Amino acid sequence: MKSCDEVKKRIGELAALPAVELPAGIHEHLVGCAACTRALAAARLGRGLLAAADGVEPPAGFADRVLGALPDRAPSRAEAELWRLGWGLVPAFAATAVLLLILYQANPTSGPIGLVPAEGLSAGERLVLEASPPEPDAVLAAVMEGGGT
Amino acid sequence: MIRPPGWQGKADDPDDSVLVQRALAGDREAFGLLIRRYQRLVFRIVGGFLRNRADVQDVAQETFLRAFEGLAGFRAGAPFGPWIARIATRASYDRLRQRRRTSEVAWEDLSPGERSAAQGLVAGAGQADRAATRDLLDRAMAPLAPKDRMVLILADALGFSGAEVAQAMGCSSLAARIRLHRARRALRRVVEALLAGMKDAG
Repeated sequence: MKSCDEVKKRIGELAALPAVELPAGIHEHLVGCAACTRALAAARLGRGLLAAADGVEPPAGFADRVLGALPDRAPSRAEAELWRLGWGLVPAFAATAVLLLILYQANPTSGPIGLVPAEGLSAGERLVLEASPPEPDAVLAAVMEGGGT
Repeated sequence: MIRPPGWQGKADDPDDSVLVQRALAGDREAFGLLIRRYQRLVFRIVGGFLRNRADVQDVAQETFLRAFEGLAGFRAGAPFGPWIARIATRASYDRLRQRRRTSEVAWEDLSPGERSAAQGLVAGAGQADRAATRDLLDRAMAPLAPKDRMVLILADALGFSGAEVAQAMGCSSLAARIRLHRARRALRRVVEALLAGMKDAG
Protein backbone atom coordinates (compact mmCIF):
# COMPACT_ATOMS: atom_id res chain seq x y z
CA MET A 1 0.00 0.00 0.00
CA LYS A 2 1.51 3.31 -1.09
CA SER A 3 0.89 6.77 0.37
CA CYS A 4 -0.81 9.82 -1.16
CA ASP A 5 2.57 11.60 -1.16
CA GLU A 6 4.15 8.91 -3.28
CA VAL A 7 1.30 8.99 -5.79
CA LYS A 8 1.52 12.77 -5.91
CA LYS A 9 5.27 12.65 -6.47
CA ARG A 10 4.99 10.12 -9.31
CA ILE A 11 1.76 11.41 -10.84
CA GLY A 12 3.35 12.37 -14.20
CA GLU A 13 4.98 8.97 -14.59
CA LEU A 14 1.82 7.12 -13.48
CA ALA A 15 -0.37 9.10 -15.89
CA ALA A 16 1.76 7.83 -18.78
CA LEU A 17 1.11 4.19 -17.87
CA PRO A 18 -1.86 2.22 -19.19
CA ALA A 19 -4.18 1.18 -16.33
CA VAL A 20 -3.11 -2.46 -16.55
CA GLU A 21 0.54 -1.54 -16.01
CA LEU A 22 0.07 0.40 -12.75
CA PRO A 23 2.22 -1.08 -9.95
CA ALA A 24 0.17 -3.26 -7.63
CA GLY A 25 0.81 -1.07 -4.56
CA ILE A 26 -0.35 2.04 -6.37
CA HIS A 27 -3.42 0.28 -7.70
CA GLU A 28 -4.31 -0.85 -4.21
CA HIS A 29 -3.94 2.70 -2.89
CA LEU A 30 -6.08 4.17 -5.67
CA VAL A 31 -8.95 1.80 -4.89
CA GLY A 32 -9.26 3.30 -1.42
CA CYS A 33 -8.30 6.95 -2.14
CA ALA A 34 -10.74 9.13 -4.06
CA ALA A 35 -8.42 12.17 -4.04
CA CYS A 36 -5.53 10.31 -5.69
CA THR A 37 -7.90 8.64 -8.17
CA ARG A 38 -9.18 12.10 -9.15
CA ALA A 39 -5.67 13.51 -9.42
CA LEU A 40 -4.55 10.62 -11.62
CA ALA A 41 -7.64 10.97 -13.83
CA ALA A 42 -6.93 14.70 -14.30
CA ALA A 43 -3.26 14.03 -15.08
CA ARG A 44 -4.17 11.32 -17.61
CA LEU A 45 -6.72 13.52 -19.33
CA GLY A 46 -4.40 16.53 -19.50
CA ARG A 47 -1.52 14.42 -20.77
CA GLY A 48 -3.66 12.57 -23.31
CA LEU A 49 -5.10 15.81 -24.67
CA LEU A 50 -1.70 17.42 -25.12
CA ALA A 51 -0.35 14.29 -26.80
CA ALA A 52 -2.94 14.81 -29.54
CA ALA A 53 -1.38 18.16 -30.47
CA ASP A 54 1.59 16.64 -32.24
CA GLY A 55 1.94 15.04 -35.65
CA VAL A 56 0.93 17.31 -38.53
CA GLU A 57 2.86 16.45 -41.68
CA PRO A 58 3.56 19.00 -44.42
CA PRO A 59 1.72 18.23 -47.65
CA ALA A 60 3.66 17.23 -50.76
CA GLY A 61 4.82 20.21 -52.80
CA PHE A 62 4.62 22.62 -49.87
CA ALA A 63 8.16 23.97 -50.38
CA ASP A 64 7.51 24.67 -54.08
CA ARG A 65 4.29 26.46 -53.22
CA VAL A 66 6.09 28.71 -50.72
CA LEU A 67 8.89 29.40 -53.23
CA GLY A 68 6.25 30.45 -55.75
CA ALA A 69 4.78 32.93 -53.26
CA LEU A 70 8.10 34.57 -52.29
CA PRO A 71 8.97 38.08 -53.43
CA ASP A 72 11.70 38.32 -56.10
CA ARG A 73 14.51 38.69 -53.60
CA ALA A 74 15.10 38.84 -49.87
CA PRO A 75 15.77 42.33 -48.46
CA SER A 76 19.55 42.85 -48.30
CA ARG A 77 21.49 43.37 -45.07
CA ALA A 78 21.86 47.08 -45.94
CA GLU A 79 18.08 47.47 -46.30
CA ALA A 80 17.52 45.59 -43.08
CA GLU A 81 20.08 47.81 -41.31
CA LEU A 82 18.32 50.93 -42.62
CA TRP A 83 15.01 49.67 -41.25
CA ARG A 84 16.61 48.83 -37.95
CA LEU A 85 18.20 52.28 -37.78
CA GLY A 86 14.88 53.92 -38.62
CA TRP A 87 13.08 52.00 -35.90
CA GLY A 88 15.94 52.72 -33.54
CA LEU A 89 15.27 56.46 -33.89
CA VAL A 90 11.63 56.12 -32.85
CA PRO A 91 12.37 56.13 -29.09
CA ALA A 92 14.60 59.22 -29.54
CA PHE A 93 11.79 61.08 -31.35
CA ALA A 94 9.30 60.01 -28.71
CA ALA A 95 11.59 61.15 -25.89
CA THR A 96 12.07 64.56 -27.56
CA ALA A 97 8.32 64.99 -27.99
CA VAL A 98 7.70 64.13 -24.34
CA LEU A 99 10.45 66.55 -23.22
CA LEU A 100 8.96 69.41 -25.26
CA LEU A 101 5.51 68.65 -23.88
CA ILE A 102 6.85 68.71 -20.31
CA LEU A 103 8.62 72.05 -20.97
CA TYR A 104 5.45 73.55 -22.39
CA GLN A 105 3.25 72.30 -19.57
CA ALA A 106 5.70 73.49 -16.91
CA ASN A 107 5.58 77.08 -18.22
CA PRO A 108 2.58 77.59 -20.53
CA THR A 109 2.39 81.41 -20.09
CA SER A 110 5.84 82.05 -21.41
CA GLY A 111 4.86 81.84 -25.05
CA PRO A 112 5.01 79.04 -27.54
CA ILE A 113 6.87 76.04 -26.06
CA GLY A 114 8.64 78.30 -23.60
CA LEU A 115 11.09 79.77 -26.12
CA VAL A 116 9.91 83.45 -25.92
CA PRO A 117 9.52 84.66 -22.34
CA ALA A 118 6.51 86.98 -21.84
CA GLU A 119 8.69 89.39 -19.85
CA GLY A 120 10.77 90.04 -22.95
CA LEU A 121 7.85 91.47 -24.96
CA SER A 122 7.34 95.20 -25.50
CA ALA A 123 4.17 96.90 -24.27
CA GLY A 124 2.83 97.07 -27.85
CA GLU A 125 3.50 93.36 -28.43
CA ARG A 126 1.71 92.48 -25.18
CA LEU A 127 -1.27 94.64 -26.24
CA VAL A 128 -1.53 92.74 -29.52
CA LEU A 129 -1.26 89.35 -27.75
CA GLU A 130 -3.75 90.25 -25.03
CA ALA A 131 -6.33 92.02 -27.24
CA SER A 132 -9.37 89.84 -27.84
CA PRO A 133 -10.25 89.31 -31.51
CA PRO A 134 -13.25 91.27 -32.83
CA GLU A 135 -16.58 89.43 -32.91
CA PRO A 136 -17.33 88.15 -36.44
CA ASP A 137 -20.79 89.75 -36.34
CA ALA A 138 -19.26 93.13 -35.46
CA VAL A 139 -16.86 92.85 -38.41
CA LEU A 140 -19.74 91.99 -40.74
CA ALA A 141 -21.81 94.91 -39.43
CA ALA A 142 -18.88 97.31 -39.93
CA VAL A 143 -18.43 96.10 -43.52
CA MET A 144 -22.17 96.43 -44.25
CA GLU A 145 -22.22 99.87 -42.72
CA GLY A 146 -19.18 100.96 -44.71
CA GLY A 147 -20.70 99.55 -47.93
CA GLY A 148 -23.98 101.48 -47.38
CA THR A 149 -22.44 104.94 -47.09
CA MET B 1 18.27 21.52 -29.45
CA ILE B 2 15.65 22.37 -32.07
CA ARG B 3 16.65 20.27 -35.07
CA PRO B 4 14.76 19.71 -38.28
CA PRO B 5 12.76 16.57 -37.42
CA GLY B 6 12.91 13.77 -39.95
CA TRP B 7 15.44 15.54 -42.17
CA GLN B 8 17.50 12.92 -43.93
CA GLY B 9 20.37 15.15 -44.93
CA LYS B 10 23.40 14.03 -46.89
CA ALA B 11 26.93 14.46 -45.56
CA ASP B 12 27.82 17.05 -48.22
CA ASP B 13 24.66 19.15 -47.73
CA PRO B 14 25.57 22.79 -47.15
CA ASP B 15 24.92 24.00 -43.62
CA ASP B 16 22.20 26.50 -42.77
CA SER B 17 24.45 29.58 -42.68
CA VAL B 18 25.75 28.86 -46.18
CA LEU B 19 22.19 28.45 -47.44
CA VAL B 20 21.16 31.75 -45.82
CA GLN B 21 24.07 33.56 -47.50
CA ARG B 22 23.18 32.03 -50.83
CA ALA B 23 19.50 32.94 -50.42
CA LEU B 24 20.47 36.53 -49.59
CA ALA B 25 22.56 36.60 -52.76
CA GLY B 26 19.42 35.72 -54.75
CA ASP B 27 19.61 31.90 -54.87
CA ARG B 28 15.98 30.91 -54.32
CA GLU B 29 16.72 27.21 -54.44
CA ALA B 30 18.96 27.67 -51.38
CA PHE B 31 15.95 28.99 -49.50
CA GLY B 32 13.93 26.09 -50.93
CA LEU B 33 16.40 23.71 -49.31
CA LEU B 34 15.96 25.50 -45.98
CA ILE B 35 12.18 25.13 -46.34
CA ARG B 36 12.49 21.41 -47.05
CA ARG B 37 14.85 21.03 -44.11
CA TYR B 38 12.61 22.82 -41.60
CA GLN B 39 9.07 22.35 -42.90
CA ARG B 40 8.38 19.40 -40.59
CA LEU B 41 9.49 21.39 -37.55
CA VAL B 42 7.30 24.33 -38.60
CA PHE B 43 4.28 22.08 -39.23
CA ARG B 44 4.84 20.39 -35.92
CA ILE B 45 4.79 23.73 -34.09
CA VAL B 46 1.94 25.32 -36.03
CA GLY B 47 -0.04 22.06 -36.03
CA GLY B 48 0.29 22.01 -32.26
CA PHE B 49 -1.54 25.31 -32.01
CA LEU B 50 -4.10 25.08 -34.77
CA ARG B 51 -6.60 22.34 -35.56
CA ASN B 52 -7.75 23.25 -39.04
CA ARG B 53 -5.43 21.86 -41.71
CA ALA B 54 -5.91 24.82 -44.04
CA ASP B 55 -5.02 27.20 -41.19
CA VAL B 56 -1.91 25.15 -40.43
CA GLN B 57 -0.71 25.33 -44.04
CA ASP B 58 -1.52 29.00 -44.22
CA VAL B 59 0.44 29.87 -41.06
CA ALA B 60 3.32 27.55 -42.04
CA GLN B 61 3.59 29.37 -45.36
CA GLU B 62 3.41 32.73 -43.60
CA THR B 63 6.24 31.58 -41.31
CA PHE B 64 8.57 30.97 -44.26
CA LEU B 65 7.52 34.23 -45.93
CA ARG B 66 8.33 36.14 -42.74
CA ALA B 67 11.64 34.27 -42.50
CA PHE B 68 12.53 35.18 -46.07
CA GLU B 69 11.72 38.83 -45.47
CA GLY B 70 13.76 38.85 -42.27
CA LEU B 71 16.60 36.74 -43.61
CA ALA B 72 19.04 39.64 -43.54
CA GLY B 73 18.48 39.91 -39.78
CA PHE B 74 19.51 36.30 -39.22
CA ARG B 75 22.78 36.29 -37.31
CA ALA B 76 25.50 34.49 -39.28
CA GLY B 77 26.58 31.28 -37.56
CA ALA B 78 23.51 31.12 -35.32
CA PRO B 79 21.39 27.95 -35.46
CA PHE B 80 18.50 28.28 -37.91
CA GLY B 81 16.14 25.92 -36.01
CA PRO B 82 15.42 28.13 -32.97
CA TRP B 83 15.10 31.16 -35.25
CA ILE B 84 12.47 29.59 -37.51
CA ALA B 85 10.77 28.03 -34.46
CA ARG B 86 10.39 31.48 -32.98
CA ILE B 87 8.87 32.87 -36.19
CA ALA B 88 6.46 29.90 -36.38
CA THR B 89 5.48 30.37 -32.74
CA ARG B 90 4.89 34.08 -33.24
CA ALA B 91 2.83 33.53 -36.41
CA SER B 92 0.71 30.89 -34.61
CA TYR B 93 0.28 33.18 -31.63
CA ASP B 94 -0.91 36.00 -33.90
CA ARG B 95 -3.48 33.63 -35.39
CA LEU B 96 -4.62 32.43 -31.95
CA ARG B 97 -5.10 35.99 -30.75
CA GLN B 98 -7.63 36.59 -33.50
CA ARG B 99 -9.86 33.93 -31.99
CA ARG B 100 -12.38 34.64 -29.31
CA ARG B 101 -11.68 32.93 -26.02
CA THR B 102 -14.58 30.95 -24.61
CA SER B 103 -15.33 31.26 -20.94
CA GLU B 104 -15.60 27.59 -19.98
CA VAL B 105 -16.06 24.11 -21.33
CA ALA B 106 -18.76 21.83 -19.95
CA TRP B 107 -19.19 18.09 -20.24
CA GLU B 108 -22.69 18.59 -21.72
CA ASP B 109 -21.20 20.56 -24.61
CA LEU B 110 -19.00 17.66 -25.78
CA SER B 111 -19.90 15.50 -28.74
CA PRO B 112 -20.35 11.73 -28.13
CA GLY B 113 -16.95 11.14 -29.76
CA GLU B 114 -15.26 13.68 -27.48
CA ARG B 115 -16.90 12.16 -24.39
CA SER B 116 -15.78 8.72 -25.38
CA ALA B 117 -12.23 9.99 -26.02
CA ALA B 118 -12.16 11.67 -22.60
CA GLN B 119 -13.42 8.53 -20.87
CA GLY B 120 -10.82 6.43 -22.67
CA LEU B 121 -8.01 8.74 -21.62
CA VAL B 122 -9.15 8.88 -17.99
CA ALA B 123 -9.38 5.09 -17.82
CA GLY B 124 -5.83 4.81 -19.14
CA ALA B 125 -7.15 2.63 -21.93
CA GLY B 126 -4.36 3.49 -24.36
CA GLN B 127 -4.96 5.08 -27.77
CA ALA B 128 -8.20 7.08 -28.02
CA ASP B 129 -9.81 8.33 -31.24
CA ARG B 130 -7.23 10.87 -32.44
CA ALA B 131 -9.58 13.26 -34.24
CA ALA B 132 -12.02 13.37 -31.33
CA THR B 133 -9.16 13.84 -28.86
CA ARG B 134 -7.83 16.69 -30.96
CA ASP B 135 -11.29 18.31 -31.02
CA LEU B 136 -11.47 17.93 -27.27
CA LEU B 137 -8.01 19.46 -26.86
CA ASP B 138 -9.10 22.51 -28.85
CA ARG B 139 -12.18 22.83 -26.68
CA ALA B 140 -10.20 22.45 -23.46
CA MET B 141 -7.62 25.02 -24.60
CA ALA B 142 -10.16 27.57 -25.81
CA PRO B 143 -10.65 29.26 -22.42
CA LEU B 144 -6.87 29.63 -21.91
CA ALA B 145 -4.91 32.78 -22.73
CA PRO B 146 -3.01 32.45 -26.05
CA LYS B 147 0.34 32.64 -24.22
CA ASP B 148 -0.72 29.85 -21.87
CA ARG B 149 -1.67 27.70 -24.85
CA MET B 150 1.62 28.53 -26.47
CA VAL B 151 3.77 27.46 -23.52
CA LEU B 152 1.76 24.27 -22.93
CA ILE B 153 2.04 23.19 -26.55
CA LEU B 154 5.75 23.94 -26.75
CA ALA B 155 6.71 22.37 -23.43
CA ASP B 156 4.19 19.62 -22.76
CA ALA B 157 3.02 18.63 -26.24
CA LEU B 158 6.13 19.15 -28.37
CA GLY B 159 8.62 18.42 -25.60
CA PHE B 160 10.77 21.54 -26.02
CA SER B 161 13.29 22.12 -23.24
CA GLY B 162 12.95 25.14 -20.95
CA ALA B 163 15.59 27.05 -22.90
CA GLU B 164 13.94 26.20 -26.22
CA VAL B 165 10.53 27.33 -24.96
CA ALA B 166 12.06 30.62 -23.81
CA GLN B 167 13.80 31.06 -27.16
CA ALA B 168 10.66 30.31 -29.15
CA MET B 169 8.56 32.65 -27.02
CA GLY B 170 11.18 35.38 -26.94
CA CYS B 171 11.29 35.62 -23.15
CA SER B 172 13.59 34.64 -20.29
CA SER B 173 13.74 31.06 -19.01
CA LEU B 174 12.32 32.22 -15.70
CA ALA B 175 9.36 33.94 -17.37
CA ALA B 176 8.72 30.81 -19.44
CA ARG B 177 8.81 28.62 -16.31
CA ILE B 178 6.38 30.88 -14.46
CA ARG B 179 4.08 30.99 -17.47
CA LEU B 180 4.21 27.20 -17.79
CA HIS B 181 3.31 26.72 -14.14
CA ARG B 182 0.34 29.07 -14.51
CA ALA B 183 -0.76 27.46 -17.78
CA ARG B 184 -0.66 23.95 -16.31
CA ARG B 185 -2.81 25.12 -13.43
CA ALA B 186 -5.29 26.71 -15.85
CA LEU B 187 -5.52 23.51 -17.91
CA ARG B 188 -5.93 21.45 -14.75
CA ARG B 189 -8.91 23.61 -13.77
CA VAL B 190 -10.51 22.97 -17.16
CA VAL B 191 -9.81 19.24 -16.96
CA GLU B 192 -11.17 19.01 -13.41
CA ALA B 193 -14.37 20.76 -14.49
CA LEU B 194 -14.74 18.21 -17.29
CA LEU B 195 -14.12 15.33 -14.89
CA ALA B 196 -16.74 16.70 -12.50
CA GLY B 197 -19.23 16.83 -15.39
CA MET B 198 -18.26 13.30 -16.41
CA LYS B 199 -18.86 12.03 -12.88
CA ASP B 200 -22.22 13.81 -12.56
CA ALA B 201 -23.34 12.36 -15.87
CA GLY B 202 -22.49 8.91 -14.51
